[in-house]
Amino acid sequence: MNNNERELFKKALSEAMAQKYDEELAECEENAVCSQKHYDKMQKIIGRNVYRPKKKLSKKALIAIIVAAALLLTGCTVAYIYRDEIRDFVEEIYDEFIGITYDDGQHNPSEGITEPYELAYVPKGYEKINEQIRKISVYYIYENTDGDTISFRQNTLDYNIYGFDIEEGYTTIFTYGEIEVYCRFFDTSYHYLWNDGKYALNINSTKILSEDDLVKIIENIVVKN
Amino acid sequence: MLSFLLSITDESNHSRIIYLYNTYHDDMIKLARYRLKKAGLPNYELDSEDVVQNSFVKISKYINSINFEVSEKELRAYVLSIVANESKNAIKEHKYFDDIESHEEVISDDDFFERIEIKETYDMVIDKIKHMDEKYSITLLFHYSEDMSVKEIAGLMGISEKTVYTRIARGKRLLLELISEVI
Repeated sequence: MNNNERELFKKALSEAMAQKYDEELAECEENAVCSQKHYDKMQKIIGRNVYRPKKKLSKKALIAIIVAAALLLTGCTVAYIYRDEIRDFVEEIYDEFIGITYDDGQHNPSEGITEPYELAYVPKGYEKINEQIRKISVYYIYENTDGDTISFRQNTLDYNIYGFDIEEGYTTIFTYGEIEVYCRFFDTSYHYLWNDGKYALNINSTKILSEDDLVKIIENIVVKN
Repeated sequence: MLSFLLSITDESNHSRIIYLYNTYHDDMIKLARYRLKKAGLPNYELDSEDVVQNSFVKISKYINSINFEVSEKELRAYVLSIVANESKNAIKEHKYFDDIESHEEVISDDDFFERIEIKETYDMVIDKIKHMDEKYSITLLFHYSEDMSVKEIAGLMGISEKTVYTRIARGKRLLLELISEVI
């Protein structure tokens, strides 16, 4: 049997079916919003929290839109009508790593970090041992007496990609309100990625964070004085 | 189903299922809704959720048969084909008709690949596969692209092993007929 012919036929089959479904999806006017019952069943099938609530406009964003609309009516120019919408992550699979980015190519270039953040909460026992505040990234690292570390990084939403080894580790998504935290766990390191619509935020730790600690960290990120 | 679910203890398979969910769930729902609505099912939105749930149960059951080292296009084709097949089953239940497979003469793979001359007819083969009845194209996809066994394909598609053999044979014959009409 000619293996090249067989491989080419395999490729043709996948190509044909993928094209066919893509053409249908291009025509499709349906959305993918599902009932709570569906997500409950999916959680049982998959064994993880998979619920994705509808993204609602934050109060801040709503006010921004109303103000912008009012300005437009008066003939004023408006830029960045709505900047704070939390972005979905984009996951791309490469040969040797998984790339996660919030750069969707649909926004104007980042201005750099105009509001450096800091953590107002860290898990008990951790003390800050280093920090770096730069125009395009902010970085803190904390350590406890056992030598475990937690680092926090703030980056611009665009021009950044986070890479994870593709062969090791596993991914899970933690949902907190409107925020989806992309979690990638390995044996000795734990990585958490999310964004607040302004910046990409990232925690790397040598020990897994409890859900309680993760939520407190997220809730207590403040603009640095 | 409960005992089957308890058997998913391998964490790497677990993360693969979650990866498939995160990457394809929304398109799976949309494809199911598109097809069920087109078929005239009155509760197509809720039925599409059942289709996707059934699809993930099957994906989980046959997770070890999935090759994750293939291209994204191949993985996507596989996942959406499962949805397409489950959608067909949902439509079939609604319309209450059955498929009767006839006996087909078997063309060997060697003979098939020699006659299809795919190096010269690649684009045409893609076009013909797209327009074939999916019961054949999906069976061929699972058999050739995913290297699944007849037993696995039968379980995945909810048909008998005899029907799988018949569809593979009929699919090959049909594809050759379609290609030869054009040449």
